[in-house]
Amino acid sequence: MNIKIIKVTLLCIILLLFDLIRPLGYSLNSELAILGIFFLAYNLDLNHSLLLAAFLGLCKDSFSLDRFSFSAIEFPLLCILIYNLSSLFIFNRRPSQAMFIKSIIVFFCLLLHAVYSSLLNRVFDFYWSLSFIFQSYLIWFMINYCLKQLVIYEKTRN
Amino acid sequence: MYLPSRFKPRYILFASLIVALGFFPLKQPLKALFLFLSDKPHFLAKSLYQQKNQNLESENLALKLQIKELEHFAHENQSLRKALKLAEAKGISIQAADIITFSPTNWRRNAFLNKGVNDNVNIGDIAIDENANLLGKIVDAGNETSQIFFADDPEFKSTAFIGEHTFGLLSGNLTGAKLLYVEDGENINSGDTVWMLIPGSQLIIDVGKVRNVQKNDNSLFWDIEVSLFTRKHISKRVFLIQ
Repeated sequence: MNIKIIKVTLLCIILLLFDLIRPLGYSLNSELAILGIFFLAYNLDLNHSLLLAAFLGLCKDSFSLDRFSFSAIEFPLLCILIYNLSSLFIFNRRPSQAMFIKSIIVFFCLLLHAVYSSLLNRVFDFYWSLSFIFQSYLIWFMINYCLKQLVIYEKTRN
Repeated sequence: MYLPSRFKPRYILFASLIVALGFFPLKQPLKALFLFLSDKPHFLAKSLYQQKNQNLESENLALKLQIKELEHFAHENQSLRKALKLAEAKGISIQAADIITFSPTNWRRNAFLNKGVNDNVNIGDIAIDENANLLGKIVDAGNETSQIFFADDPEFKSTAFIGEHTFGLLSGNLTGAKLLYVEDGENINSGDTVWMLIPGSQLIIDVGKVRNVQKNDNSLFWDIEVSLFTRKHISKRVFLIQ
């Protein structure tokens, strides 16, 4: 198995574990597992990202204490959405434009996740949802910039 | 050499924007991170004195509850009620439990505890924090573990009081809680304490403070928003009243 896939898998599992143990309680208004899904959707090919997203969704559903939890379906669907939107808008663009479009796609996916979760749990709070989206967005940027160097790029020394 | 006077204003503006964007949405998490790190030495040393510490904390909490109870009844008919409640309060016991895992979704506020039926934990037991404020309620109990709904969980429901006689149904809404079906809300003001009675005893625990009071013309009931006293569940220990 490719070393990159193992690294991304480990990263996603660590993010899911952080969601479960919550060292900062509920003061951090973000779901790290879904940020891991965005990360793998952008850094792995579609087949691997779908498989991994389904596995992570299944793990999340298993640990979830709720009656209804459909992350095993939601995560692969998000992967397909990111893949399709990216191939539609990012293809053949300059890196700066691609980064901007990538950010918009992540924002859109976070918005979708917030709406879906609000409907599923029958609770809606505008400012709370806004805080969720912005905090998740910032953490995604951090993950994308800080961990990408560690996980994706191999160190090349001659 | 880079002196502050030689910085270009646009760089300062850009840096300020980044700091502002990063700081404001992440203000609460950063605060929690500092609290978590300041609590870390205690967290690492807890295995040494865990049991002893748990017992002491439970005893301390029971005493705090009794003090609260005494303070509350000082406003009412003093001697007779106090004696009665103290006698009843002796029947309860408080047990410490630790949180194993939280729910991975942010739209719920529930967790698994490391105590179950084998430790006399039952469905409906009320959980409080180290300051004797309401934390949540046990909704499911297995042999070794149990499940708790925190007070800000959307499915948490319990009766709560404001003042002497006004009561309603306390229901969580992620950012705090709401008191539903309150008919006589004319005398309720922002800042009033919300409290509840432990079922089966006459113990009183604080829930939070009234944040906002509103009356909708089309509704019979008042809309009362409550801000809870609990600290976003940063502490991983709960105390169960049995």
